[in-house]
Amino acid sequence: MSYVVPATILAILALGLDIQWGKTGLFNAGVAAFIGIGAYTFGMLSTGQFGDPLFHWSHWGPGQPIDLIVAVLAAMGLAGVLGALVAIPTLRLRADYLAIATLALAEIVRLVLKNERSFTGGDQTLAFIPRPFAGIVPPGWASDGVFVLVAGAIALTLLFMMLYLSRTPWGRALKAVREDEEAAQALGKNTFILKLGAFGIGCAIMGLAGALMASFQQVIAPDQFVPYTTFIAYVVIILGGSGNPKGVVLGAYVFSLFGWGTQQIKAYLPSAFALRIDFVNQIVIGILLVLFILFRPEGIMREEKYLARK
Amino acid sequence: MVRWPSIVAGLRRFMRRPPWWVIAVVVLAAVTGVMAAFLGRSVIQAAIQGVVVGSIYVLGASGLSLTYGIRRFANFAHGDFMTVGAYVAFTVNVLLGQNILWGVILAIPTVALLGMLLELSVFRRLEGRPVAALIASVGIALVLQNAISAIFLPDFLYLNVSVPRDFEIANTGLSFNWIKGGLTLGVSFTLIVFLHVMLKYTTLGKAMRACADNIDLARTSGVNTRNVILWTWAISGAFAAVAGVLLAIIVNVNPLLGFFVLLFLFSAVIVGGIGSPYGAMIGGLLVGVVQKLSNVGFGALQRAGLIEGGSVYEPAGAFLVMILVLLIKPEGIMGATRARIGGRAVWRRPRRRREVVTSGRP
Repeated sequence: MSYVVPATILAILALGLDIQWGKTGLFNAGVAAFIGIGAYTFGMLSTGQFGDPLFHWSHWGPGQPIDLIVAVLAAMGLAGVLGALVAIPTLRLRADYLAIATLALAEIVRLVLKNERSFTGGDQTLAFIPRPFAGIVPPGWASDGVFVLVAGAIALTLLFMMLYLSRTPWGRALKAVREDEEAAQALGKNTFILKLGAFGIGCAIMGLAGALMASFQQVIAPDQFVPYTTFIAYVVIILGGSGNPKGVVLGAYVFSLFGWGTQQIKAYLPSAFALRIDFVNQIVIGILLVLFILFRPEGIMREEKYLARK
Repeated sequence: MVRWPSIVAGLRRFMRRPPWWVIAVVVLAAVTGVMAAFLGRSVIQAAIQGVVVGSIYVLGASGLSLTYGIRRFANFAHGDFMTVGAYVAFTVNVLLGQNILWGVILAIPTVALLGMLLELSVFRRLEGRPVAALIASVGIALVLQNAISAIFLPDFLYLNVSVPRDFEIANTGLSFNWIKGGLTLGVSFTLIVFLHVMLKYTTLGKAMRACADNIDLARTSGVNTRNVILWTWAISGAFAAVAGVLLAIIVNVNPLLGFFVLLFLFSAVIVGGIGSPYGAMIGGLLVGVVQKLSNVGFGALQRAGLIEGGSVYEPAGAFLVMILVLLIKPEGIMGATRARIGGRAVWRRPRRRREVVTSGRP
């Protein structure tokens, strides 16, 4: 369970990012912010207002807990709208600006989540986030199992949507924007609207991943949404093959296997080394990323060539 | 002989459309004044701190801008170059018990070599693929951070520098520190003058400007572009090392030291105009002052009960300025007149087309 569910959530996240980076070529460096917004919106809405007079632990929410489906939709909507708002001023500019602006946004979002305590719970975490079918399924392995099914179903749906998307006119127009924006413009495509749409939808999917993450962990803390989270999403995409949804999902499972494996090994190591294994793990990831960029930029699975029918 | 008419004409042109950076400085001064009127002396103190922090950003940002100007990609590992410099100084200063000066002297070549090594091993192969180079630099940043964490563990460490007490400036209630403030300002001013002289008057500087302007043309004109690029990395790294040590003296030494400053460096570079070291200089000072002013401003908002977190939001002010500049003048406040490293350039690198996957026929 500690492997399958995070890997599936990572796959959903990476599919969202793949619309932006893989398909359209937009470098979003604020993935963590959109996951965070999704996770916190979902958590705050689905738990309702919560206050603990003893520990002064509280967070804002509606008076009554809101239905999970509505909460997920709200999380996706908010992440998507915020993504579009950030994108409007920066999309017209060059790729680096979008990266830097979104990275700055991610930092601001993290600071707000961390410090506005009566609103989000701050460092004292946001806990008791419900899982789907919590009333029917008892907590424990049954709940985990149901979660695997739910997350898996969502991931599969998204995967098929993405595969279909590659073949729609809209998907092809996105690729055209990635390959040569001026040529796409010359062919009468409104590249700004295309990019904005791709960015918004990608952010909404990241919000969905955040909501799932919050629901699975049941406890979220602002420090989960550090820039490293963004980085992982990119590693997954580049490992799997940017622009190829199947490759991206594969990448998510392979990458999670690596992270999960090192966690399992940790228990058998001497303490001096166990302390450092997380760092060694990240060094390996970094080196792997650079090597992939240098020698196999298309990833494990190359983007499928799509031939238009005559 | 002074030719008055030309000066008058220049002044008239200036009045008609003052340079953007003058506008920015005036606006910032006005904001400082208004804030000081409402919030008192702490604003002026913050502005002084801002100039000091800003002078460190200037060092970092001008190095970042140099590599950006020539290599055309945003180097996300630049902040970690600063961290490496700080840790080299820490090793020499605390672990080996030497003077901090030796630490700086050793840090400069170490980071310069690191930059050159990365250019040779990674970035040279990614020429013409700016976004790939950007992602590779993120990977390198991760490797550097974690290598440092693995060796030194992620603790807050302190350099062994004897810092004198703050002194009061002429009974104004404003304090200043010779080491933390004066040394920082002095060192960065000296290095900026050095950079300016190098860029304007030496052969290497001219070659660097030529490469930033049009690398193919520079190569055709007989400039050894590979060497020039290597030297650019070395200078950029050396500046980063000095900035890292200065920052370590003011704050502390930790593996994320540079990474947290990176966003301010980017703000400075964008505010000043990407790829222009002169812009980065003024941008760094502006961003530093804005950061410290917003520290005071958010603190006041916190006391007013409007927000819960106070001065921790100080990055938000700096990023807000960056986003404002992106909205109003995306090429930066010095970008128009000095598009590349000290010189006009309107040339654009032609896009390298990748294989078009969507078309049916070749």
